[in-house]
Amino acid sequence: MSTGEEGIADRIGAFGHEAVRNGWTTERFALLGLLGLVLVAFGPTFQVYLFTEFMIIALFALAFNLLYGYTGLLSFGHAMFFAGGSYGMAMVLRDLTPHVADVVGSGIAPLVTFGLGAVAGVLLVLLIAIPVGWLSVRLEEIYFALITLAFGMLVFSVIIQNPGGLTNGTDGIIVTLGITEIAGIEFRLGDRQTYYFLTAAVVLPSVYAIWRVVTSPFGTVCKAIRESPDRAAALGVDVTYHRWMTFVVSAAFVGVAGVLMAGLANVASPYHAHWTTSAIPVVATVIGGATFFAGPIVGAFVFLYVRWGISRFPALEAHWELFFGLMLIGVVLYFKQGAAGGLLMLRGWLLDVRGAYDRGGTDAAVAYARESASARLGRTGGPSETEGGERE
Amino acid sequence: MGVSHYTVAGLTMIGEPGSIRNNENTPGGRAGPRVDRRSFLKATGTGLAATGLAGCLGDDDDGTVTLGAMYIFSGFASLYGDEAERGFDLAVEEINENGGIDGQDVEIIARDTEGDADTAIRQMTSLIEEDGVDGLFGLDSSGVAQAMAPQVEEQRVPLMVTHAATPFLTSPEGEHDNSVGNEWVFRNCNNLSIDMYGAAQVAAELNATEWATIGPDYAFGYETWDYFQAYLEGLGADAEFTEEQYPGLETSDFTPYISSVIGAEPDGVITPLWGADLTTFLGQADEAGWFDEIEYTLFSVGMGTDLPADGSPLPEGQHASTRYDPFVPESEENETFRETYYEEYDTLPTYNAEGAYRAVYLYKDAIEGDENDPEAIRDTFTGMEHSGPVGEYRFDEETNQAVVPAIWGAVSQDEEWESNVLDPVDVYDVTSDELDDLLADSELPSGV
Repeated sequence: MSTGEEGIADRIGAFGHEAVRNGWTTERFALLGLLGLVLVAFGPTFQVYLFTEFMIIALFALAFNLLYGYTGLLSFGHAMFFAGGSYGMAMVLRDLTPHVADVVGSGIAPLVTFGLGAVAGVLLVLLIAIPVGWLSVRLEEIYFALITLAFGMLVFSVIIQNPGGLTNGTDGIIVTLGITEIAGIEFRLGDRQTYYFLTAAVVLPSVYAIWRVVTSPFGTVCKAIRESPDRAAALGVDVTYHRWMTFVVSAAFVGVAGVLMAGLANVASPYHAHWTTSAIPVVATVIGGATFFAGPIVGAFVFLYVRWGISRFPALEAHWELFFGLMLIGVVLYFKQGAAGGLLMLRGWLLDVRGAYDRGGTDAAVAYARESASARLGRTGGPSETEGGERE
Repeated sequence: MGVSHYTVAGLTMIGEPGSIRNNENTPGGRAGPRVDRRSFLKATGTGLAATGLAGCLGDDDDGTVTLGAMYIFSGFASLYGDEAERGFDLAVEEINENGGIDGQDVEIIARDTEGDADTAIRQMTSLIEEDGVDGLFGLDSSGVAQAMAPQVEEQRVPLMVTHAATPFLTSPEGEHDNSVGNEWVFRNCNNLSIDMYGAAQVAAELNATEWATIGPDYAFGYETWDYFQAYLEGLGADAEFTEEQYPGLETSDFTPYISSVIGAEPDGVITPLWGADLTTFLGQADEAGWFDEIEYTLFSVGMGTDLPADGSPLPEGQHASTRYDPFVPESEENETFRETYYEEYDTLPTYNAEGAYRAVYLYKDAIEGDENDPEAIRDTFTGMEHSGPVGEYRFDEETNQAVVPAIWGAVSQDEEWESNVLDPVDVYDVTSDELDDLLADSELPSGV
C-alpha cells in the first residue's frame, strides 16, 4: 500500500473518530439527512422522480409493517387502501375543481382541491378500513391473509365495475394537478421538484408519526400481541380491539401513500387495488427486514432501485423477473433479518474494524478485515443458521 | 357500461383552465388548445427544460437514433410484447444493414410496462430523461395508453401507439369526456372504432337480426359492444341487441356465460375475447354446441392471438378481423415483409409484429432528411402519408389516427403456411367523415 493511500485512510479514520467524539448526535445526522434530501431535488430529473416514488413506497411499506412486523398480522389486501387514497384524490380533482374554483377563486383552486382530495382520500380509506378491519382482525395467520386478500380483490372488482360512473373502470382516472397562482406567482404542483418537496413534506412527518406510534405504549402492546396474543389478553389487553385500531392506523397511512401516488403517476389506476400491489409492501418488508423499524424503508429502496438498475441494461431488462427473483431468493436465504439486518451487521463489522484501527492503526484494521472476510467466506456452506441465530 | 359520462366542463377544467376559453371561442376549436397548451408549457418552462434535456442527451451519442419500445413483456399478456419485439428487431436489422437513418444506426431500448400504468410511466420517464430517446412507440393496454397520453404531451416526445385500440386515445381532448388525444400521440394501426365499423358491415350483410356479445370484463369488452351497436344502428341495419356477457379476465369456466348467450338464441355474436381466454372459451363453446346453435360468431381479436397460439384455433368458416393481414394488400412491400418475416421466425406476422415493424420505419421516414428533433418528428407525423406492409395510408390531421381499413374475413386453414388465414377477405375502407356521420346519433367519438 502506498503512503498516499495510507494518508487518506488515516485522515478519514481520524475524521470519523473526531466527529463521534465531538458528539455527532441523532439531530446532526437528521440535519445531514435533510440536506441530502434537498440535494436529491437538484439531481437528474429522473432520479428526482424515482426518489419521490421511493418515498411513497417506503411509507406504504412502513404503514403495512405496523400491522405485520409489529402486530404479527400479515395483510395481503393493503392495496385497497392504497387505491382508496389514490381514487379519493382523483375523484375530488375530477369532480370538484370547478366548484372549488367558484368558492376560492381559480388561482389557488388547484392547491385547495389537492388538499381536499388528500383529506377525501384518507377519509375514504377510513370508511373502508373501519368495517373491513373490524371483520378481519377476528382471524389470524393465513386466515387473516386470505380475508384481507378477498376484501382487496372485492375493492378491485368494484373499481372495475365503474359503479355510477365514479371510477371509470379499467382505464382509471387521469389526475391533472393544474397550475396554482398565488399573489401573481404561478407554479405547478405536478412539477418534478415541487412534487418531490411536497412528498418529502408529507412522508417525513408520517414516518415520524409511525415512529411515535411504535415507541408509544400503544406500540408496546402491539409487540406484546405479536409475541403472544394469549399472554397479552391475560394482561388485560383487548386483543381484538387493539388489532382493529392498529389495522385502521396502518390503513390510514397507506391511504396517504396512495394519495401521493395518484399525483405522481397522474393516474388513479385500478391496478393500485390489485393484489400485485398488495404484494409490493410484503416484498419490500421481506427484503428490508420486518423486525426493524427502518426495514421497510430499506426494502422499498432496494426494491425500486434494483428494478431500476435492471432496466438500465437491456440484456437484464429482457429477463428482469429472473434477476429480481434471484435477488429475493438471496435475501430470504442469506439475510434472514433482511437488508436492514444486513446493514446492522455491516455496521457492527465496521465498528470492529475501527476498534482494530484504534488498537494498531491501519495495518491492524486491514488485517482484521481480511481475517474476518476469509472467516466468513470459509463459512459459506451454511452461514444463514448462525447469522439468523445471532440476531434473534 | 365502460363509457362513463361526466360534465365536459369538469374534465376540461381539470386539464387546463385556459383551454375552455379556447374551445368555446376559437373557430375550429380543436386547433385552439394546441396553441394554448404550448404557451402554458412555455410559461412554466418545464416542458422546455424537459425537451432541452432530452435533446442534449439525444445528441450526446450522435451516430445513433434511439427509440424507446414499451410493451407487455411479462405476465399473461407477454405474448404481445414478444410478437412486437420480432417486428421491431426485424426493422432495425433491415434499416441498419441498409445504411441506417441518414447514416446513423437505429437502436431500440425495450422496456416492460408490466401492463401497469405506474410502471409504464416510470419506464417512459426513464427512457426520455435517462436514455434521451428520440421517440417512443408501442403500448398494448388501452388503460396504460390513456394514462400515458398527457405525460408524453408534457414531456414533448412523440409516441406512436401500435396496438392499444381505444378510440378515446385518438379523439382530441375535449371531444368526449374520456378523450385524451393530443398532438404528440399517434396510432399507426386501426382502432376499435374502425374495426367495429367493419364488424357492422359484415353483420349487416349477414342473414341475422338478433345480436349478442361475450367479451372480457373491462373497457375493451364494453367499448366493443357500444361501437358495434352504434355502427349497426348508424348503418340503419335491422338489428336487435339481446344479450351481453362479460366474463372476467383469465376466467377458467366460461360455461355459465356460454349458456346465457345460447339461451338468448341470438342469430349472431360478436366477441372480443383474446389470448388464453379465447382459447379456453373456444374449447368450452365447442363442447356446449355453440357453433350448432349460433349461426354466426364474429371474432374481433381472433387473428391477433390465433397465429402464434397453439391449442384450439378459430373454427373454419367463422368471421374474424385483423388490423393487418399478411396477404392484404397484394403489394410487393407486403410480400417482401411476409417472406422475410416467415424466413426469420417460421410463422406469419401478426398485426402486433407488423405495427411495431412499421413504427420503426415511420420514425426512419420522419427523421430522414430532416432534423432529428421531437417537434420536427411530431410535425412530420401530423398528416403524414406513408406506406408499409399494411398498404398506403395517411394520418388524420386532427386525430393523429392512421386511416387504415377494417379487415374482416372467413377463417380457413391454409396448408401452404400451416396456419389459419382469412380467406375470402374483405377490406372496408373508411373515411373520418363517414365514421363521424354513422356515429352521429351516439355520443361516441370515431377516434379517426
